[in-house]
Formats: sequence, C-alpha cells, structure tokens
Amino acid sequence: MSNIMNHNGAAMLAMMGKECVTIGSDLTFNTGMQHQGRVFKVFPVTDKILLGLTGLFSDCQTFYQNVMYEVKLLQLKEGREIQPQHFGVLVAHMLYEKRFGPYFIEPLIAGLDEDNKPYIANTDTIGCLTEPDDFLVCGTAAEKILGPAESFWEEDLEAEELFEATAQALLAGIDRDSSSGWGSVVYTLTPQKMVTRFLRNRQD
Amino acid sequence: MSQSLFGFRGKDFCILAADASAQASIVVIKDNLDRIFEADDHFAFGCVGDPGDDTTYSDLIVRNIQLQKFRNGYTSTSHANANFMRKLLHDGLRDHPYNVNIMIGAVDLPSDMNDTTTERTELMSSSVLIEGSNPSPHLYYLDYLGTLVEVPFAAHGYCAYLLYGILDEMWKKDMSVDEAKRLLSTCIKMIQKRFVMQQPKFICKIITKDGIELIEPLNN
Amino acid sequence: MSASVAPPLPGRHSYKVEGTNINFAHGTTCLAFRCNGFAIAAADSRSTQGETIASQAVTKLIKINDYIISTMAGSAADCQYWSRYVGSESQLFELRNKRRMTVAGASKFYSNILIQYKGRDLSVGSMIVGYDDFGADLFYIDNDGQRVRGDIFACGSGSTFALSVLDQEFRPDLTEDEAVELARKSIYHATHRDSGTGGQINVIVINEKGTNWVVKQDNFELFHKYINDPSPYPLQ
Repeated sequence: MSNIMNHNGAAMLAMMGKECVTIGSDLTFNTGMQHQGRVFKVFPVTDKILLGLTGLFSDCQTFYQNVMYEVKLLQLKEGREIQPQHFGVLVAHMLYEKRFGPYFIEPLIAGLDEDNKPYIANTDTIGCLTEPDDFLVCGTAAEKILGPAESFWEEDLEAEELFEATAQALLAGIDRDSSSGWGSVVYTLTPQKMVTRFLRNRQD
Repeated sequence: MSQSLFGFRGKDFCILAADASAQASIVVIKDNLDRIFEADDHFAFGCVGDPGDDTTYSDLIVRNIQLQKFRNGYTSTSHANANFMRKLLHDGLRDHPYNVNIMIGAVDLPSDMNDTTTERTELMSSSVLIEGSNPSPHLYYLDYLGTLVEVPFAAHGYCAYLLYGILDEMWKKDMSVDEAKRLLSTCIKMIQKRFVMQQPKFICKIITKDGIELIEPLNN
Repeated sequence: MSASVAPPLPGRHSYKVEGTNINFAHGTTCLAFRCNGFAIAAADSRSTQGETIASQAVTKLIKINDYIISTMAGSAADCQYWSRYVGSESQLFELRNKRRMTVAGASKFYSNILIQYKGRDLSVGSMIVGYDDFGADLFYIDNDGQRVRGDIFACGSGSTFALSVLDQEFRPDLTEDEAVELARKSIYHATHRDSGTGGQINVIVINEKGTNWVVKQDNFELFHKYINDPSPYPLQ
C-alpha cells in the first residue's frame, strides 16, 4: 500500500492457447485501502491486440493515450495495422524512453498476429520485454494468481477451455488479494471474434 | 485531506458539495469559501487540496476552458474537458505536482456532442460507462495523481470514509432532485456529526441542462 | 484485583525482531451498540498480512464469559491473550464473590492491564460489551489506556463506513431483530468499501439470557440486498 505500484490494486492474467489468447483482469479502482469504483484495465489497441495495464492507474491512462497516438499514427502512415510482436517492442521502447523517471506500470499484451499465431508479452516498468509461450501474471495479485495459473494451464487449449482456465486462476488469485476484486472480466480472442465475459466475483 | 468534497449523479443532473471553511494554521479564516468552480454553463468542478495549489490549478482550468470555447466557437464535451484537466495534473506530477483532488460534475447537451463522444465505446473509456439519458450527466473522480474515473458518486479526503457507507446504501440510479437534496442533507449531517473538524457550512451546486445553481439540502 | 497476577513485564529492551512482527487482523471492522435490554457486537472475519488475505474465517468476537464479549481489532495475539486472561480472572471473581463480574469491572480490569503496558507496542482496540445486573453495557478500550462508556462504538480500518450507516438508523428502542439487521448492514458496507474488511459477517446479541450468536453469513450473499449497484456488467 505504501508502494506506489500497489497504490491502485490490480489482478491480471493472460494465457495462450491454440489459435487463441485470453486476458483477464479485475475491475476495482482501489486507493490505498479503499475501493473507489470500477474501471476497465484492459484496453483495445487493434481488433486483435489487447493491452492490459497494471500499476499506478494514472500512469496507465497516460500510457494508453500515448501508445494509441503512436499506433494510430503508424496506421495512417503505413496503411496497415500493427502486429502484436511489433506492438510489444513499441511498448518496451516507450517505457525505456522514460528510463530515469519511469511510468509506474507493468503492461501485459495479448494478441493474435496476421497468421493467427497467438502472442502474449509483458514488460517491467522500464521495458524489459518477456515473451513466453504459456501465461503471464501482473498486478498486486500476481503471485497469488501464479500458482493457480500454473496448475490450470495446459498446452494447446481451445478457446473455451482456455477461458475456463483463465477465469478459475484469476478468481482464485483475486480471492487472496485484498487490493483487487470488485468484479472481473475475461476477454477471449479468437481469429473470428473477441468474446467478453464478466465473472461472478466476491465484492469485498 | 480534512476538507470535504463529494458529489453524486442523479437522473439528469449532478450535484457537488464542498465545505465552505478555509483554514490557516489553527484558525478558520473564512467561512463562506466557494470551492466549486463553474468553468462553463454545464461544467463545474470542486477542488480541494493544498492552499495555493487549489486556487492556482482551478483558475488555470477555468480560464483555459473558456479560452478553448472562445477559440473553437463550441463547447467541448465534459469528457474532453475532464481529460484536459487530467493531463494537466499528470504532466505536472513528477516535478511540480498540484496537490489537488477534483470532482467534476457536468451535463452534456445533445447539441454539444461531437465526434469524441461517439468514440467512447464501452471499452475505450477508462471507466465503466453507465447508459446515459439525454442530456447525460457525468460525474468524474479525479485525484492528485491524475486518475480520472467516471463514477455514479464519490467523495474525496477523510469525508470519503464517512460517506461511502451512506452513498452505497442510499444512492439510487435516476434520483429526482428532491431525493438528491435529501441525500445531500444526510451526507452533510453525517460529516458534521462524526468528523472532528468543524465544517458548519457547505456550498452545494446542482448542474443541470439549464445551468449551474446553488442549492440547499432538504431536511427529511 | 492486584496487577501482580499478570505475567511479569518484559525488560526495558525491545523484543521486536525486524521482519518477524506479524500483526494479523490489522484491517478490521468491529462494531457494538446497546439498546434497551440488550447489546449487539458485530464484526467481519478477514485477516490480512500486508495485501494478502491470510484468512477469511477469523473469529473476532471473543467470549470473555457467558455474558461479556470483547471485539478484536489490532494485533490478534494481544487481543486473544488478554481477553482470555480477563476471562479467566472473571471466572475466579465469580467463584470468590458468588456474583458475576460487571461489564464495567471487566473493562476496567482489561484497561488497567493495557495501561501497565502503555508504550510497549501492545496493539488493542476493543469494545467490551455485555449484560450485567445493571443492564446492557458497553465500553471502548484501547492500548493508550483509554476507556469510554457509550452507546455506539466502532473500531478498525472499516469502522467509519460501518459507523455512518449505523448512525442513520440507530435508536435506543430498536427491537432485537431490527438491531441485528442494522448491525449486519453496517458491517456489510464496511466489507464492501474497505479492503482490510471482508469474509463473513458475525453478529452476537447479548441480553439477560446471555450471549447468542445470531448471524454468521458470507458478505457476498448480501451484495444485491444492500448495494444499489450501478455497474452495467451482468452479475447473474
């Protein structure tokens, strides 16, 4: 709570499946010890890229606005949509730009590229990019989600199974973290569509 | 932190309330201070925080919003104005922070709507959007860090500890003005009963499609 | 009762070892109030270590004897130990004097112990609530040595949320059922807003028949009952 990264709580989890990715987050906007309201922490970048932001929510909002400026500019200049892999590098660069006065955020990227290959990535506050091929956790509830995620995740899950794994791991983690909660949402990204599902969550 | 500022949204209006006392050292130097600034016909915000920062910041905002309106020839949406306020706070955060907490109450008229409004899909907005009536009232919570969240009701500082319980219980969607005034009275009475600082007078304003007005709480 | 019954005071040096000081139940909401003929004690059940929820099923209402309850806020170990200690002394008092210890007596005894340890890092904020020959009675005591009699008290990080709701509807002539419902609602609002408060809601009624544990309910069951929630997402 005294740490600026933990001032606004968050729980976030992204998982990779077979031609699909999921990203889930809680909805609370917490200040210190007090739940203030509900916010979405996962933002759309393109139809096939989602950006989840945890950490200081003020910086999350600014960073999202700045990153969208770059993404839209690239779209206008090049006449094509940015790919998740390139978007990951863009995010890492934008964070490293502020190396000596960083954004207090940890972004999580989930997307499908033009060949519908799933991609997930996250970085630390100053842009060290990690691109695993299983799952990623972020936020104040990160360590609490990690265990459940490890046991629920399997290789090559289909979209529905992947959603189930994400939701279960997320809920288990949130229930052990006092700073996150107040509802949660999971986005499932498949080549055809993006499905948004809200989870039935404890409200304390 | 000891200054009280809270607000909530009704059917087609927003209400802001702030305590009217100004403090210097251990003395109350003014008991009718208006902390709720009217930046535009349908856009008001309450501002509490460090003495000096609050007036500097709010003056800056009020003049800039008026300048923007003058230059452009149209009124910006409350969303645009709120984001402008947020940006100013966040830009200053790391080397010259404004220690102010803000509550914005605004009503968007259909004639004010421009393209930025249509862009606010549910996901794009940083907050959970509530289906708005037309004209649509908006209440924004904006803290000194520059976190902008749209909420149905909110409170800043210590009074939040006393008011959230009441507001959670008694706030209703689509409240009428009279209901809202009664809720206002309940909230102010609670602060005056339980909060250690003396706050005998509150200034309350309602923002409707017809403009901004001073209101008095309605006793039950 | 002489204070020499208490365990010897530790030496003047601190026993605290860096990093081993675990304070369970620092975030808490407890409340107690008294009406005509009975008193109510209520609490949540969450215990946190930093941001981690250590447990959602802690009992924060401690029985001192059949007619007196103490609520627990601060360090769980301090509260539990000293409540039990006061409890055993109240039993001895009963055997020696053939009458029950009064609430005023128990709270004064407790408070005297806390004063002895003042400035020694005890962390206790407790309401002593019970029923004795003089009727329902209620005291707030804490580790500063403060001891106050009153009608309504709340304690812990979420106490303000609970207190404001409680203040709205409290009357001395509430019936038992109304009082229990009010206590449940007050604690609920604290669980909703305060991140240090959560889990189950516990309510105990104390009247001339003794203590009666009437509510033990998960707060999530009450979400739709108490919150005019404006969120657009479906909660089913």
